[in-house]
Amino acid sequence: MRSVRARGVILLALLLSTSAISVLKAANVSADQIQTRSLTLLTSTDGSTGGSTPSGVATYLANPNHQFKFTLPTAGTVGSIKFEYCTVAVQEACVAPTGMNAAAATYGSDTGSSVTGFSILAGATANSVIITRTAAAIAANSNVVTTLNNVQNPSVANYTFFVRISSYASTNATGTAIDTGSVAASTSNPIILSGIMPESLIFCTGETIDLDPTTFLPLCSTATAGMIEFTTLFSTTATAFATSQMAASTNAGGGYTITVTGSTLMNGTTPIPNIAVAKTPSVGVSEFGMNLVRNQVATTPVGGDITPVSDADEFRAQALTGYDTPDTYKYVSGDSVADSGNTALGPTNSQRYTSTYMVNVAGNQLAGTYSTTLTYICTPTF
Amino acid sequence: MPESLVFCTGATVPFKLAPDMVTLTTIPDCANATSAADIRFNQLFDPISTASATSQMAASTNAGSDYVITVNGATLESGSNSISPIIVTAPSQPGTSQFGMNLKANSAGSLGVATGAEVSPLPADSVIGGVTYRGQAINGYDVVDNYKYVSGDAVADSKNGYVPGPGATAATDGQIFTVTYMVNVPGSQPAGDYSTTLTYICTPTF
Repeated sequence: MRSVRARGVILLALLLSTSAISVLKAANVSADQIQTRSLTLLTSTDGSTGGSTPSGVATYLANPNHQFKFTLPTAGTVGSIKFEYCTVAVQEACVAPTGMNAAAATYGSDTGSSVTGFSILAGATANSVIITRTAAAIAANSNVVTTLNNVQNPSVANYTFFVRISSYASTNATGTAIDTGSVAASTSNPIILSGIMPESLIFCTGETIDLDPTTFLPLCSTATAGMIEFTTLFSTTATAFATSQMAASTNAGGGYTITVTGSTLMNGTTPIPNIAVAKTPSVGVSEFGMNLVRNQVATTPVGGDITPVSDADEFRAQALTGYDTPDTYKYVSGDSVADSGNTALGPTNSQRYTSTYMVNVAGNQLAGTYSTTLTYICTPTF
Repeated sequence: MPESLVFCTGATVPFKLAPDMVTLTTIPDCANATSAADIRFNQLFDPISTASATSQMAASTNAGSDYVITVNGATLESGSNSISPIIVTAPSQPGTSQFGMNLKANSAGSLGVATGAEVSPLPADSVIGGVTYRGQAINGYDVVDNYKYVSGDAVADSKNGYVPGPGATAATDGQIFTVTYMVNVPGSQPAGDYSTTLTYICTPTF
């Protein structure tokens, strides 16, 4: 008899609980679907922390803010909204995503929301946060923008998790949910990119070096090789000129220095004397010199300016004393002719120099072919 | 069918193997995405050529409104030295300070070696087997041989072929994006190890 009574109690309990579930299901079914709903895992302003980084990695530096946007379809009183973080979107019992923790969540911005006045209801758990306000009516299809700050992401990378959102008339998420809906978000592997900038020197010489048509930087790949000939035969009544070009860049903290070495122009044992002290050309006098600037010879310029122009910052190239004055020439083997010391020696982006070579000859200069091989040496100091 | 989102990032994201364990399917295999904790550029930085690197990501969702993927993080930095991000989409220009990315198949003329890939499967493949592919690069990250990097930018969405209207949906099956990163430096770029951590965030709107 006691057994029968017990069964009856159990049966009654089952019936009652079934009825309760039915009521709950009916309540859930009657809730309207929250529309246009999303969850964005926000980063810090500079994008360096937060976001979708899983909390279980070394690069996880700070909890992100979780921004929810959605539309509540039902007009009526709203006093609270519940956010429940789960491993599945609906129906099944809510299990907290691995490693996540919303217990320390704070209320963030509601900018752009037509339903405002919320704050965090005390008692947030690892996966459940309720925001509350003084219960008040909202219109149908009111948009909600609300941000929960300081929510620790799940600890697993490439891991989808869901948030079940429910609105309530009560201020503590009790009673029947009015509108419900789920959103999804995913953690992701942080992409750690790395590369090495080694010590760098780019230096080239040639008869000509083209400039990139877009960046106007010299292209060493276009440097031409071979013999450089003076533009005219040597004459006692006119000056002969020739030019070559070179380009240099370095990231050396101490910059670079360029020297020129080689003999003066020679024909066998007969030289054209080099100019040891910078001077203007003297027609009818044997002399060989050079400089690295744009010269004005009558109406025809010879040589060229350093390109791009130095700015004491990204571009620091400069011709050095003796080789830096228009229409003034010098040649001493071993001289430093240029460096990246515009304002101060330092690293510089690529610039092109144009060297102008100048020859005058006296009436007794022996006939013949005069030549020399000049070598430019660029030395960066790292 | 509940709300669904599958999103993953990695150095590589493969396609799943067919049951014969040999043939590749067209379904991204997020479970086997490789770590992206140390993606290195293909060469040392230098002022006369472009360095490149790639990563991949995959996404699918049944969200009706679409998904949007943003990229977040600083440009490449070494202490207080940095490489300038490309604010407005532009081609590679060796000798200048540039850090950028795109989600396209780039030519060898741009980077020295052909780098990157189109989203796969392509939206045009959606006629096969009743699947729908709507993933696409957007917002300046969709131009072959051109690059851009602005933290917070949306770089992809699932609105390829999407026409707003009753019954319209931007839901999409899984596709793999290949992200190409490029770096140019001026001759004066200080020596050092440059790095950054980028975070991709996929936000579906249901």
